[in-house]
Amino acid sequence: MVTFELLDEPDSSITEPSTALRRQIQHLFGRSLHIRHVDAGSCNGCESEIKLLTSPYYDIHRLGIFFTTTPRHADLLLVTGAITRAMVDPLQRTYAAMPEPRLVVATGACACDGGIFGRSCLTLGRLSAILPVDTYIPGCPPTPLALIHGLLLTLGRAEQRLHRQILAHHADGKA
Amino acid sequence: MSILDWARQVRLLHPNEWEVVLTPANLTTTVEALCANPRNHFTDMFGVEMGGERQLRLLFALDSEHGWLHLVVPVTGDSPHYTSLVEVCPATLWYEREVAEECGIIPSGHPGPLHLRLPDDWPEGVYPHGGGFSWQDKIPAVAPHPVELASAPDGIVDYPLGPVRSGVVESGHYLLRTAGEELVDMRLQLFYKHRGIEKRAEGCSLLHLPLIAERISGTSAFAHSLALCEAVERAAGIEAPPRARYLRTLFAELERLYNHHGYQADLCQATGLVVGQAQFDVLKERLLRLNARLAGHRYLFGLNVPGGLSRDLTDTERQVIDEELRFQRRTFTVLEELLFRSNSHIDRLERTGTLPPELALAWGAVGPVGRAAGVDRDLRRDHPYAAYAELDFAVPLETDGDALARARLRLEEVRQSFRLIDQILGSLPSSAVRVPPEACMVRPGVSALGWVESPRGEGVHWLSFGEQRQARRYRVRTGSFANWQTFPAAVPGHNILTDFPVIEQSFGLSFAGADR
Amino acid sequence: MELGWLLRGWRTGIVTTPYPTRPDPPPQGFRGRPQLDGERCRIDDGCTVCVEVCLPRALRLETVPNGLDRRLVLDLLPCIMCGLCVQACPTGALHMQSDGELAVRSPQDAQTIVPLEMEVSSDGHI
Ligand code: SF4
Ligand code: SF4
Ligand code: SF4
Repeated sequence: MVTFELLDEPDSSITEPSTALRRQIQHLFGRSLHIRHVDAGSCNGCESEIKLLTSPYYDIHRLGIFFTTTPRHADLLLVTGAITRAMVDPLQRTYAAMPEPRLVVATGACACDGGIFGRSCLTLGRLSAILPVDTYIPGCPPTPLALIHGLLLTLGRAEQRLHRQILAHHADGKA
Repeated sequence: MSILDWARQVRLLHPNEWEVVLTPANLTTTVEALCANPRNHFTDMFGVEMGGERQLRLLFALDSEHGWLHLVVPVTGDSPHYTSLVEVCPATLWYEREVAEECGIIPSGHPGPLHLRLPDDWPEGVYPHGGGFSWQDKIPAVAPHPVELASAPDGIVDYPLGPVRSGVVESGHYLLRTAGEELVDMRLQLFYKHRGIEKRAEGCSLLHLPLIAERISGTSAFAHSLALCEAVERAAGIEAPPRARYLRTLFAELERLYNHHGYQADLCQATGLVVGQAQFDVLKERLLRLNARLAGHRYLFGLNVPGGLSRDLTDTERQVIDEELRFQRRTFTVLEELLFRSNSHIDRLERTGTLPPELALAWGAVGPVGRAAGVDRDLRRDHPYAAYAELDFAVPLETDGDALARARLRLEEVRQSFRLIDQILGSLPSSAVRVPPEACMVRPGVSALGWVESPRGEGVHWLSFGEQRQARRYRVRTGSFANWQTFPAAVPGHNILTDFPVIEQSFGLSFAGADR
Repeated sequence: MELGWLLRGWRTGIVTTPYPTRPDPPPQGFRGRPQLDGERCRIDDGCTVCVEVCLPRALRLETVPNGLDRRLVLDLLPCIMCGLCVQACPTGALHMQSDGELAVRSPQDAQTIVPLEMEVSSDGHI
């Protein structure tokens, strides 16, 4: 029998917030949410999309989501980029300055798992290597709608659409 | 000294691309002679390691007729030196630091520190472009050795900003020096976002190189992938089919449009004109949706391929662009008029962040920033690529060099882009949009240059291939990199601390493009 | 002047997306994400075309921890939605979807896996 564990299992102690904490978070941020964005080595594509969230086309204020300038008022850390060496320390300091409970969202292929850069001499290649990540938003860059879905999912206000799939083999039907 | 004087030593590599090999000893006089002619422009300087040999390379843009000139200086020894060129060509300041740090070729007598782009915990003597390791190798961290900033003199207050700053912005660090309200000086610390794009490209095939170029600066993705593809095509000795050249011009102008709208939106945000910001964001978003429809991607990723484009434009799509353009024109005219009637906005821009024209020229300002300070350069006109030579457009020029000039210049450029797109839609040649991939073959060991006038200025890419036709060395000089070097010159004099966000936005530079 | 802007805003009307109340589909041909059809995939016959063209290694062959079996993984986290794999796949097992609701709470949920058993000889060697 074949088992399907992840080869590169993320360190579960830092990447998986407990279900209880998750429920508490959903309760706390059910109504309004303040986001602090940190660019940790993006190409600016992700920022361009995030900025448009407050434009008339997307207007996330209607959903009770706001951007804040200081980490001290932030509930959620929205991180873009491949986590360059020079940004590790500023990123961790921003996280430390946020009050608990705090949420972390990895935005775009770069922050989720390195994108084209991966783990290299200059990039860590994934946010989960240094912070506990609540939600991953894939895409390069994720569209504003994908960002809204990711933020609402983090708050328990939207459904997750993708699930791990193990496909049947073409030759024989075993799964 | 004109190019003719070198006729015996100069080699023609590709049409409009010349090369001359020099020794470190005669480098200074050559650069001095080149800089004495105002028609020549210092463009780039970088180090290369090939088969154990290192080269210092400089790139100059000559006049339209002659194109580009590479100065190649082979160097030897463990710690090769040359005399710093900063005195004869001030614009080389950052470039010399980069070469020292990344290739280990040292400028004797350089006036500043040599550490520039690599992170503070990067070990000494490990040269990303000096050969010996690949992008995937782990380079251990050492105790950080940050560049020390002199502490503030009496009566001067320092405001550090960044690298994580307020709002949804890219990461970079400023140290603002103020006397009372007034801004007297500033220090820039960029390169927090240095991802090593050029190193990443080493060993990549023609299939993957455009994907890498697109991510140099996501909002100039089409411009950068275009420069890269032109370099590949020059290396392969082919040209993209006529229809591809026209469509590339079309997409490059669509990219300029959404960038310039985004620029005005950001500038409105800086002056507090929220209604203006919303309106320009609407124009930008409409163009991004158009991109998604035309290219399957809002930022035109995946469109440029060596030899042409990955997809054609249908007649229906052509009409869609035409209709959108009519809407854009109408709305833009109204918005522009409203902007100039918004005194609260215009007053904040006027005489703010003035970049004096003589400094703009000396420090090598390019693109809209340069043109707003009298630097009359535009690669679309001076060294035409794609289909620009066959189209009619004007290159606007301003001489005030302040934030208002930079904003006005971009407004005029939007109108010129409308004109260009109109002409392209009316005269689109019919042909294939891509040469077959097997016709786009580079010879092993060949190298070539590609260039583009991106929305933020000149992007110049140099690409050299290895034995397996993979990229051996990729060098990118972005418009933002050149312009950041000039940015601190706009800060002192008549500006107060609260002007800073306006100055920053009025330059409209990208950190990602500069840091690479 | 303010009046002019207000008038302009009024003329723009309401452009705000109906999402999330109602869907707001992207245009046709939008590269949302690659999708893998296990029925058509020829990984068993040694095809690894898509793995070779994928720059961020979002498509990769992995060895299952038992050390013998392998599997093809399509991982959307590092995927840059370039579509090169779709163009390259000889059997049409990959195609591009335009959907955009891709966020996941656990990295595993971004993965699609096609298991592949190697032929194992009687003495346990491949
Ligand atoms: S995920 Fe893509 S768009 Fe976002 S920063 Fe990375 S390369 Fe740029
Ligand atoms: S290229 Fe297509 S058939 Fe081949 S392994 Fe990939 S998905 Fe399967
Ligand atoms: S779309 Fe591109 S990045 Fe994603 S799996 Fe296919 S080839 Fe890899």
